[in-house]
Amino acid sequence: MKFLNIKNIILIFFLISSLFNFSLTSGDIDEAIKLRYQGKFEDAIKKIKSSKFLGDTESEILLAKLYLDSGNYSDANQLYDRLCKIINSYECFNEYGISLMSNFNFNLAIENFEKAISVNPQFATAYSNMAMCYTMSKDYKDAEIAHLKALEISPNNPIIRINYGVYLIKIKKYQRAKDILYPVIAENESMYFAELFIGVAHYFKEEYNSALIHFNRGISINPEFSDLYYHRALLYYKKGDYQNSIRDLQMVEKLSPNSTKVIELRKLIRLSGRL
Amino acid sequence: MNLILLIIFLFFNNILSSQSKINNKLTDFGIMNYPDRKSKFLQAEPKKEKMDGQKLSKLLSNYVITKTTQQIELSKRNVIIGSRGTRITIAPGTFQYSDYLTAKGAATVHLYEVIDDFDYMISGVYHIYNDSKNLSYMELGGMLRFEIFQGNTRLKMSGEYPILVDFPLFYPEKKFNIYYINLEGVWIKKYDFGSYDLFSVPESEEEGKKVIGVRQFKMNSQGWWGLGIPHKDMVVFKGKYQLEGKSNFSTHVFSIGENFRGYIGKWVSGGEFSISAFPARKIRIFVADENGNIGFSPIIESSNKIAIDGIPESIDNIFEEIQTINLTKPPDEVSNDKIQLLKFLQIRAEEYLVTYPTK
Repeated sequence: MKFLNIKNIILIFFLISSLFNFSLTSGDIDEAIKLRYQGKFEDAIKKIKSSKFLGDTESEILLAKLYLDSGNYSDANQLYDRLCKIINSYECFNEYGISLMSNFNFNLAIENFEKAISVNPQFATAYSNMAMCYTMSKDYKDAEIAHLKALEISPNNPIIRINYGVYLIKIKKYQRAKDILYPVIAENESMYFAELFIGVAHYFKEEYNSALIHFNRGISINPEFSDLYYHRALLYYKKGDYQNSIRDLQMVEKLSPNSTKVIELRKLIRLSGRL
Repeated sequence: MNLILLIIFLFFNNILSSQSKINNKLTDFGIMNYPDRKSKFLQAEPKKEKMDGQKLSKLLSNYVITKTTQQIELSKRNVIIGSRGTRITIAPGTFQYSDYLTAKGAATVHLYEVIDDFDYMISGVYHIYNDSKNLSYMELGGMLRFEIFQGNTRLKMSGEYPILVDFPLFYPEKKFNIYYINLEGVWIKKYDFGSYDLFSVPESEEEGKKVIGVRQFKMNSQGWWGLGIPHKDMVVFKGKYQLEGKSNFSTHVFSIGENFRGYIGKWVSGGEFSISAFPARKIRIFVADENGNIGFSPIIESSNKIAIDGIPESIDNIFEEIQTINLTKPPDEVSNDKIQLLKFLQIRAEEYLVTYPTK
């Protein structure tokens, strides 16, 4: 009975309550992760914020990722800036890099992609993301180097190949872009994003029928992806099919109500007296 | 006006799109990817069984599928007709090197054709189609495998210019879909019946052989392509096998269609087997071991009692029993000669001439 002195009772109580609280926290994180995979980012953020134990690294890194998912880059950056120093993982630096890049802070983004690569030199995704960052800052030479490094490490990764294909379109190497992108859709038929950019490459080569085939295929794979309708609207406009062009623009407005792209093309159609 | 349009196209290509998916941000510059380490919430699809490269029994592993080999010039349009009548048409620029540059110069095409039951038996390919909802066995209409090499380097297909295939039209009344085996070894449906062309010819004979037309489709990958009709409901046969009174060894057991084409196989051990078969059809069951012995059942007519192999027998899952199959070793002159072996195994081979569309 000596064991049951007041000090030990308090200690046991503390241990039991810690265990209880741990499972509660763990349950909240599990729930937030589930919500995230359902695309319910705001609900997941609320779930974590309402957790009594917000502040541990696991829940904070999830919160940062949710801010990144939902496009709240300034809050994401604040969290990543603190957390990546603590956990020093390549995933953290990569996510921070993406958040910074999305916020047009390209230099700091590149620094973070480099940190991700220094932690894991075989992390091809960081090279590919860094290449995009270089392209956005119009440094095409370094973009090419980073894309090729990503491909060297991970030659079969469809995302890395798509990103290189998109880059080639940006630098107007349309045939080479098609050479990179076509095998991606041959190997994986659900790649609507690759279909979009194959269509774009054909468009720039003035191969309008082929472009239309790929925009249509992309739409049949993912009818919710507004960029496909937008590019098809441009194509219809180019072909003089104003009715279909306007119909596609209406789809873009429906799927992405805040799209600024639509306004400009509508203006153009109006200028040509077709609206 | 074109200039304005080009400016809009280029300008808005430089604005980030707001679309985002889990762990990806789809932008006008590509996909910003931030993968997780493995999460328990990422429900990985159960790994599907690999359909090609299946182990064969000793006797059948002595044989390889008929192959047509032809040298081609990659900058030209090439037409290759396989020894079993498959015609493939290859456009210039169809192939790439591993760095995605268009392959040039001479290359060697290898075309394998699977037409007869025996071809299926030696192909090492199973025909289960798993569309994640249902698992189906395929009734078969032929299969081909295409590969291209430059020296020892296997070229890749760019995908921009598919290969046109005219495949011999067996069972013209049957609504075969067209499938290919992907890099994971899984059958993937490429074309439903009706979405590819049929070139039929009136029933006739030439040189004592029937004249047939073709099914026309496009291939955009190398490897196995096959015609099939998936069947979900199957019957199951069970039985025993033995060799000189012994049964403590493993065998390859497979069922072959008699009045249709079907091949279902698996390895078993311990002297007993169960094997799926198509309902209400005539089939034969073969067992072949790793020492060159083989045995087979007489022609059996399957019932309509649907059952599932792999789950225990019960009142709702009844297996039909067949008599014990005795294995024997065919004489060497039979084992080593395809014509004699086909005769020994009572397997038929198709004889036909193919007529192709002129355009």
